[in-house]
This record gives sequence, structure tokens and C-alpha cells, in this order.
Amino acid sequence: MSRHSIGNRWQALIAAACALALALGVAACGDSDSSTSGSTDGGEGSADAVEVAMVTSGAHTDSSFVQSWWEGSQQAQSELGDAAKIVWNDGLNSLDALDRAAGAALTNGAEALIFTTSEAPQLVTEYAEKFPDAWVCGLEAPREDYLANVCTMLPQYWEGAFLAGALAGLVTETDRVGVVSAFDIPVQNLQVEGFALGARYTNPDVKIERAITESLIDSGKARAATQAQLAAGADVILSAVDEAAQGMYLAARDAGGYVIPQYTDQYESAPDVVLTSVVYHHDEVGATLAKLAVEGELEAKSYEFDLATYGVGELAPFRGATGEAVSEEARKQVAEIQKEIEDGTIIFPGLEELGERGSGESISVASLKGGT
Amino acid sequence: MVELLLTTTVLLTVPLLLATLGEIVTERAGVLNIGIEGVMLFGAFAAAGVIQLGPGRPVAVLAAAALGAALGVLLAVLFVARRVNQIVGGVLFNLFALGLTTVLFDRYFDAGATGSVFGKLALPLLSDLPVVGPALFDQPLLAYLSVVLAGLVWWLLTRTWFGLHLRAAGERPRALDSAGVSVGGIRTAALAVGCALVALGGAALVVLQSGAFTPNITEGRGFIALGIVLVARWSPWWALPAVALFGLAESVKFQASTFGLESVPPEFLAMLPYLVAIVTVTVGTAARYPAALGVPYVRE
Repeated sequence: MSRHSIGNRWQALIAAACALALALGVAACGDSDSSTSGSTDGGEGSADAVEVAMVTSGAHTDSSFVQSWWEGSQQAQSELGDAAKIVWNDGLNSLDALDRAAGAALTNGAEALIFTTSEAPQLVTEYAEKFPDAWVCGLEAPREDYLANVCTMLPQYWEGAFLAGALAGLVTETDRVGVVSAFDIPVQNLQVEGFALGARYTNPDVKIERAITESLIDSGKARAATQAQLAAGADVILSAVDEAAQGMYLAARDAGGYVIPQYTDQYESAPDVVLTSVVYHHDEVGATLAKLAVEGELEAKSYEFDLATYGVGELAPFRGATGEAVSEEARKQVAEIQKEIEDGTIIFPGLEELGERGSGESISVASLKGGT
Repeated sequence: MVELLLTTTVLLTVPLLLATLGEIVTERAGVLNIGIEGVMLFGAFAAAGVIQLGPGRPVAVLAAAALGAALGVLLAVLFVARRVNQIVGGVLFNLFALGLTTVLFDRYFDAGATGSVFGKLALPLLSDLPVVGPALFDQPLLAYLSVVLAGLVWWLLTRTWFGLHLRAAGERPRALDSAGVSVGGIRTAALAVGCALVALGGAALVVLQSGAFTPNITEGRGFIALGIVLVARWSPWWALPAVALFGLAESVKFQASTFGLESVPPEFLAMLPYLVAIVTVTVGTAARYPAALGVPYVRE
């Protein structure tokens, strides 16, 4: 055997050893309660446990949108105990990944599959047709027709965003507010336009700045977009991004201004710039759907979660120095507006109209009262 | 407004510039480092990890560069010693980096931590210049260093024996071998230096932009840098305007209303630099790849 081939063999062994060490490292790290795929804490369920799979993009550690859903899966598992096996799978950041995870979950015997993302409505239909004995539910606007085993869920994002806009319209000193969103898609537009409409509701002179970053997590882009809006004179900015809100906080800290993050209460992340947060209680939404699935009570319809019944879209408490920026009068007005939304005095236009980009500035504010 | 446009351009450009410089070094040596995205991700992860442990941002940046160099050696084992296909190996490395950093982040990082970034350093006199002064000369130290590094990389590649050997490894590795210089050794060194720069680019995402790590924080910037290398024609100096073009397009998109461009779809503005890149690469007659790029060297 030549020295050359011996050297090659050693190199191969070293490479293999490196790969093995890395793989073991990953395995060791993955062997934790924070695994992003697998049964949630609270029990594996008994042999006859009903299995519910929840799949999504993003990471359950985002302190925002996805984490809130993940907490719902934890909550459902904890409440249902051995009767259920809630399987959570996140980080599915492409349609293909969602497709594969959905197929695997149903093939492995899940009796219900819940997409906690609005990215794949076509997969809801596809898998409902392939697995007629299982329930498939998605985060999307109500459908015109429902297959017998399809359900949809929709937190009424526009209500919370409208409240945030109403607050921004009252707090702004420059009559200019902004929104930084990730994508030009209906679910995000409902938030953006709801905010614009709310700002105009309390402040007819307000101007609205908009920016799309094409990323939920890119802090650099979110920061640049926020800087631009602050420089243009906006002083209260709604965040419709996830982790990227960190970049917005940095920009607001540098230039002076307030950020209203959404999905969860994020005051602790940046107490110096977070004016309040719009809380959508995705955990409650997810847990409710999972429990209905386990109890065999799902129906082929749209489950809608609103401010009046579920508190979906309520504003987090005003606290600290940023809380002081909200006058008693403004707090009172926002509380009244919330009541008007809850009791139906304020009626929003249809989702198709509100979900269109720019509708927040074209819809007549007067038409909200009485819905005319 | 122009001042803000330039300021945000710099903010968005620095990580890309560092990654591009790193890729130029490795490609000039003949190694197509598709794993650039993964190295960048590890750099960002290392920087955020060190910041969370407490030693501070300067140490975090150095730690990221050191990890990058180590990863360069690891990649050299794959691409140079084992002659693994550079495209397949690079893609696998990127997937591995995404998985490992995400798992480690889930387990060890404080996800809701408030981020902080490097403060600005105004250069005397220059920062007082109208418009460009505050935009270009009142930036964090790392932004100035990235431009200095462009000069250093140019000097390294064109004015040193190491650079001569490195370029020979990318153009005529057999001639280099005939001269008694180890092609593998040069390529390994190039990967170490290049990956250190790429990892610095990842660290810049944390210490300049977000202050914190998030899974997949790079979001394809490594791949964008691969494209910019072509536009820059493997020249560190041309890398400066090339990355500025990408940063500028992003900045304009965010200030569309200020410049009266509200009616232009933001997607169109986002697409522009890529269109320019494709046209440049297609039309540019001098855009010639290093002759041995992506070809493992086998001694006969």
C-alpha cells in the first residue's frame, strides 16, 4: 500500500470523524425539550390518543407570531393530557417543506392537521382530498365552499390593527404614522389597512407611511424602513413583522419614536420604544382548534376569533415611560373605540375590500358607523 | 433625504461587502465556496453568542472571524483534501449550518433579548461635509474597516507573493505545483482567510443591524454575494460599487414615498439590482471566471 493511499485513508477518516462529531453534536442538542419537531411537552398521549399535527413556517422561539401558536399547542396538550398527542412542527420555511411535513403527519396517522400559517391554502384542499378521514384546517379567510373535512380559522387582525391605528392617530405629534410589513398579502394587508383606517378614525389629518420588507425576520431591512419613515416625520409605527421588529426598535431608539409591535406583548423587548402591543392570543386560537379536533367536534366552516368574544386584537397595558405618552383622554377614547368594535357600532367593510392595499386611505371613515 | 438614503445604504451594504470580499479570495484561489451562506450564518451566530455571554461586541466580531477561519479549514478538508463536489458540498454545508444554528439558538439563546449595536464614530472634518459627511463618515467603526479590508484584500491579492500564489492556484494550479508550491496549502489558506471575512459579514448583521441572532438571519445574503462577485469581476475595488448598488436599491424602496415613487411596485425596485447584475454578467465581455474555479486539483 502506497504512502499516498494511506494518507488518503487518514484524510477520509478525519473527515468522517468530523462529520460524526458534528452529527452527534446536533443530536445531543436536539435531544431537548425545545425540539422544533415532535410531540409537545405534557405527554406523549396514550396508545389510543388522538393525534393532532400543527405545522408552520418560522421558529417557535420568535417571541412573536409563531411562539404564540406553539404555546397554544403546549396548552392544548397540557389540558387534554393522555387523550391527545399534539405534534408540533415548525421551521418549514418553504411550500415544499410544508407539503412534506403535512403529508408525513397524515400518513403517520394524525387525525387532524392544522396549518398555523396562511402560506399554503392549496395544501389544505389537497390534503383534505387525499385524506378524507382526517380534518385539515388552515389560517385563512372564510371560503365560499368547504369540503366536509376542511375548516379555516381567522383571528380578526383588522380589529386589533384598527385599535392600534386609533391610538397612533391620537398619540402622533406630527400627524404622520407608519407601518412596516413583510409582504403584500391579504392577511398582512388587513393589518396594514386596518391600522391606516384606525389612524384616520381618530385623526382625519393623519398621513400614513407604508413599507414592505419582504421578510419577517430581516432586522436590517426593518430598521432601514423604520429609519426612512421616522425621517419622513412619522412618530408612531406599527410592526407587521416577527423577529425583524428588533431592527425597528433600534431605529426608533436612535431617531426617537414609538413602535407598536403585534401578535404578542413585546414590551419587555424594548420598554423604551414600545408604546403598546397588539395581542392576538394565537395560543388560545390554536388550543381551541386542537381541543375541538381531539374532542371530534370540528365542523366544516370558518372559525373566527374576534375582539368581543376572545379578546383577539386587544392592546397590551400601557406601562413605563412610553405609557406616560398616552394621555388619560387618549386611553379613554381607545377604550370607547374598543367597545364600539365589540358591540358592533363600528362595522368593518368586507375582507376583500379591506385586504386591498391602500384601502385604509380610500374607505370612508364615516361608513364604518352603521356600515353604510 | 439623500443623507438618509446613503446612511441606510451603508447599513445594508457592509455585511454584503465583507461576504463578497471573502468569496473573492476563495474564488480567486479556485474554490467555489457555495457554503458562504452557512459560514455567514455561523459568523452571525458566533457574534450573537459571544455578546450574550458578555465579553462585548468587539470580542464578538473577533470570535466570529476566528470561527470563520476554522470553518474555512474544515471546508478545505472537504473541497481540497477530499475533493468533494464544491456545489453539492456547499449546499449540504449550508443546510447543516441552518440546522445547527437553529437548534443551538432554540436551546441556548434568550430569544426575546433586547439587541444593541455598535455606536457611530464620526470622522473629524469629513463628517462635517454637507450631505455625504454624516452619511458616509459618521458610521460604526466596522463600516470603515470593511472599506479598509477591501483595500487590504486587493493588496493581498495583487502585491504579495501569497496573492500571486493564490491567483495561480485559481488559474494554473499545475504551474504552481511545478514551482514547488502546495496548491492544497494555498487553497486551504485562501478558504481560511475568505471564510473569516464571510463570517465577519455575518457578524456585521448582528453588531450593525439587529443586535440579536434569529434563525436564518442571513436570508440568502451569501447567495447574493456570490452574484456580486461576478458583477465585481473578482475585484475587491469593484465590489464596493457593486454592493452599494444592491444597498441603494433597497434603500430607495423604503423611501419610495419620499422620492415620489409610491406608484412603483416595491417588488420592481427590489428586482432592479438583480436585473442589473444579470445584464452586467451577460454583457460584460471581461467577466471571465478564474480558469480553475471549482475544479479540484489532482497531481498527476
